[in-house]
Amino acid sequence: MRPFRTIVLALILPAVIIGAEPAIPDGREILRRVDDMWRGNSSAGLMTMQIKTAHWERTLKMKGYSKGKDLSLMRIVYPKSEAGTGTLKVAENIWNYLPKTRRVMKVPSSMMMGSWMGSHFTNDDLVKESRLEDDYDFELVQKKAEDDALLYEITLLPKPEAAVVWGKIVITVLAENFVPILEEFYDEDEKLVRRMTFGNLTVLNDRTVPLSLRIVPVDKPEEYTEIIYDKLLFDIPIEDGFFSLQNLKRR
Amino acid sequence: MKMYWLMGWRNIWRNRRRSAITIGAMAFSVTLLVFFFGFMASWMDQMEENVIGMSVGDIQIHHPQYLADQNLYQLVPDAEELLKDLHRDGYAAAARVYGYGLMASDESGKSAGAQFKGISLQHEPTVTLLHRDRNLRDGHFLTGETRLELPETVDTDGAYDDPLAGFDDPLGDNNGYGAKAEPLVVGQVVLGKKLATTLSVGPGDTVNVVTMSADGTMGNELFDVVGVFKNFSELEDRSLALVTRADYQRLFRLPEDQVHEIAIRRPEGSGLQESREVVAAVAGDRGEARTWQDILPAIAEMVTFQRTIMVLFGFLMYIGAGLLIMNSTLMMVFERIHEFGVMKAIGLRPLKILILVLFETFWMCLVAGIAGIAAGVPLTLWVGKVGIDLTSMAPDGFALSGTVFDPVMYARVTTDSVLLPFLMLFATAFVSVLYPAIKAAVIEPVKAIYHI
Repeated sequence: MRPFRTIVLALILPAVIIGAEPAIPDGREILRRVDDMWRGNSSAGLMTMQIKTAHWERTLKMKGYSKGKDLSLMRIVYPKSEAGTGTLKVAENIWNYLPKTRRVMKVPSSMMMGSWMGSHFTNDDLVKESRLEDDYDFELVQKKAEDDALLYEITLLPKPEAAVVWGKIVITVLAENFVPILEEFYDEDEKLVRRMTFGNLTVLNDRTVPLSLRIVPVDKPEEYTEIIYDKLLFDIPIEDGFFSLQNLKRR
Repeated sequence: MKMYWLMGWRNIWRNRRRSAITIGAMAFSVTLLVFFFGFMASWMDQMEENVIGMSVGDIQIHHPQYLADQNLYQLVPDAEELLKDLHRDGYAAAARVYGYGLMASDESGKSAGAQFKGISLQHEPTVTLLHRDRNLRDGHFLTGETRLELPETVDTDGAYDDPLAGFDDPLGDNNGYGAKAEPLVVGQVVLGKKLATTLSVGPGDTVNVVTMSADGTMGNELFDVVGVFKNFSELEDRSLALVTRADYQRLFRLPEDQVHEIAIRRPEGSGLQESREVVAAVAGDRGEARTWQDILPAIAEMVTFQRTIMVLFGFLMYIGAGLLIMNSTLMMVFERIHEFGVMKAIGLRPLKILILVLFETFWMCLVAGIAGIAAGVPLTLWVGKVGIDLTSMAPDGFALSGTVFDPVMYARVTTDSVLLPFLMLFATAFVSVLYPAIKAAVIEPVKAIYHI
């Protein structure tokens, strides 16, 4: 799930860079620290999601919670007509709760490439973080940004036997603080399909996090989905039971 | 001339056993072909009924790109007015709307993608046969009724603390959601049989549907399953969810008065192309009119070439009978070689001998043809009544060009199915008999008479 992309990214980066150790001698240690800081910890945030397509434009506000990399829960709070609509992710499973009929529906595997809440995110985006380390091989390259900042470009290529959606993912992070700034998704023919950019880097609790992310489908450049964090809390106590079907239906 | 008829008739009974065997084999081929053609006619009926009669109609109007892209937003505008214009010109017309949704059953916990089709209960029966009870395996067709259901209240006892509860909330009241239960309008749905099987639902069950509506919101409604279709087509068996346009609209929220498709049945006696032109003129730039042949070229070809296929197949089946006719006639010619020699010696011209042999064959064909039809027609009628049940071999029926055929096969007697085998028998016999007949005709009298 992208709202927690920043967190999840930080989780996968250690694995990435450990694999490419010779390129950055100190990388492992730095990233272990980042890893210790993020992994297993929880977060909660309030975010605004703006979606623009050729036919409509809308704004949603939602609350999101996560614990570790396997548990997350999101709930729409605005607009009121859709408030209560929620998504629960546990490992690779996704359930949607629909307040109108008060029913929970598990998203079947055939719908994984379907849109999540009408946005340009797919249901697969929510669950694939759990599998990135298992499904992809990593390659790391150092680059210079226009303003001379050092960048790491990590190319994720699917392992031969992995059943994955993307043919290639390229993630660019700032070398200085390991904050992601760009992610590009390619199909099996290595054609760029969509581009995700991160912005509004902010220091929160002594760490730098991007508070906005925008995804643009390459074939429809006038469309986008943008998520902006209005509030973001780290290391808050949440019980595992919070991420349950029972709790998805409540409130 | 009368003499030839008589001689021909008399000659075939000179060797009763051989003639009887030949006629028997010919008659058997005719019977088989009559039956097979009757069978094929019934298949064609089923295909036309399933495809044209049940869903496509004669002519359809769409947004020019809709058939290629199936995009929710490719619509025909001013549908009500267009329908009125078409009705005024004597065309039965019905608007349809389509959309994809995820359907789930609470009882079975299963979910599957469904292709929704919203129809008008008032107009659809004037265009297609979709509404007939015999199309349904279980339950009944849509009646247009809805019921109200009060959603169950959600138990909030023992809820976990919200880590965000302490926030000063930029949205003001965000806790009001889901608290007040508004009654749900529950519509009816008729499902394709494989979809019903996948979800493990049948009449009496309720399904929950989630969609992306045309305005970008999530559509979510409950539907009562009232019926399940029998064989339809592969696509529709797997995914069709038939609802009324009103129920569709609550789910998909299309722009007012816009539809994806208008299906039209032309008035009796008017030509398909000519009707298409009239409809296209009425539609103007509101949409593009296509005939079912444009929409389903594969099936149009099958129907167009149906007779060609029948004739080709028939001749293939007749090859055996033809060789038998050739063989027995050849034997007959050798047997009567003295006789032909004498006839020529007393002045009969070769053409007359040829005609004589042809007359003999004509009589054999006539007897065999009548006998074959006499056996084939009752057989076809009987199979047409009881059917051949292949349910044990193919419980879901047979798929061909996207059309699914019933596992119980029927046959039907048509003019073609009787007349074609009969006429083709004559054609086959005529070709087969030419060689022996010419042999008899060009015989040299002296050699023939002294032939041993």
